[in-house]
Amino acid sequence: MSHILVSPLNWGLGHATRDIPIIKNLLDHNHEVTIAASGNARSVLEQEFPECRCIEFPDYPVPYSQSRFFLPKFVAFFPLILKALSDERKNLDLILAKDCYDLIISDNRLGVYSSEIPSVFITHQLHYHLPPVFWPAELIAVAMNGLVHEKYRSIIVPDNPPGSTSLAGKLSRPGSEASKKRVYFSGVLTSTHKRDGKEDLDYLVMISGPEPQRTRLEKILLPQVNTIEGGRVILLGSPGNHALQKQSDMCRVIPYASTRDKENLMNRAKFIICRSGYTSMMEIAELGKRHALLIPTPGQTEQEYLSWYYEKKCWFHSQSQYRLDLLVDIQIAQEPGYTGFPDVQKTEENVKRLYDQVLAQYIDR
Amino acid sequence: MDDLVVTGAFGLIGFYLAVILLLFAIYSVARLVYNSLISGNFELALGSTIVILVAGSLYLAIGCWLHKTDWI
Repeated sequence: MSHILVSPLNWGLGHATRDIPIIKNLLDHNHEVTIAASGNARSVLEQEFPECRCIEFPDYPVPYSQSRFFLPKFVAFFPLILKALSDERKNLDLILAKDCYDLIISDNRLGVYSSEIPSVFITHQLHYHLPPVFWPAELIAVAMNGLVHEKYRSIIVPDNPPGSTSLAGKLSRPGSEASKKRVYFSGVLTSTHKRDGKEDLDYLVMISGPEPQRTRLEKILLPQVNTIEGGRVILLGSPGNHALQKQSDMCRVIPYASTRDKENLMNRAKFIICRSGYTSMMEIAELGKRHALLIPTPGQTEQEYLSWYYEKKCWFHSQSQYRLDLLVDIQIAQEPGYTGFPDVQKTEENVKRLYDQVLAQYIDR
Repeated sequence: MDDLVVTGAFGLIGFYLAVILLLFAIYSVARLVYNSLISGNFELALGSTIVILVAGSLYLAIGCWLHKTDWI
């Protein structure tokens, strides 16, 4: 039995939830797992794995912007992120001094690695997307990514290899030699499972993501949702907002749903309206949903790129929240030209393969 | 101090210096063109404008090429 430290980033829940199948698989192999995280990421994993020890391990400040201009704020945040990275390295030393670990799994936490303990890094962004005019910065970011990846034995990318079935497009394309040498494409990793049952819900609207853009989207979408016909459920992704709970025969507004309830609703949905975050995209791919309308978070270059990429591949229709006309955009998204994602291997097989081909070499010795 | 943090700090300083240099260059060129127009030196103004346009086009062309060849 080996002891593994798993540490996801707490920028949204996506990092923590995609680690759930990996942690489950490690526990199935009778390994001991310690979770080092903070905030909601820690809460989710604590709930999911009460048998695992959890350590409070703060990460980086979140530079989300109120306006469309995410990039300047992100750049202004660099010194704070660097300070947080320095603290993260010091805190990791304290964690590693207290216990013995055989493997470290870092989900997008740049400073969680050790030169003495095999360390692997999970990311779907080997390549950052920036507006075309900033191409020199994009090249520098590729080189910087390579410097980070050198610290790890393997880089696990939850996507198919580059090519026609890649869900992250250029984001998961390795740029530097260091990344190319270490990269392993695991295929999608998500805690959402496909369930047998009827698709009896016409529309599922998921209003999620970082504030304040989540609230903005809520204000844009809620009035328009009443104009569409059919059964619809709106998930607000806002745990504190209980006053908003509404119920009618055809429309339900749910302030916050547990991961299980959300999985159930996603399975039942014929059509999904959501942000184009990569975690949601992996869920849609896992469930094999063919019809969705994607609304990127303004200023988040990753989501904006994915929206553009899916539109180009004719997989899903995307629309900016500022130009959204729900009736029209749903009609466009349902046109036969949009095929949905190609069939992908499911998480269950992917996680087994990941264990056998990557993780086992460090812990089954 | 950790080498990743040190590299990051140097990278950050380099990045901010590059931004300051770029802003200074834009300011200097704009001042040069403005002064040459004010003083009636239209050849210098035209020459500077052509150099700016060529440099800008080259920058965009390199960006397009990198994009087409999947470098970015």
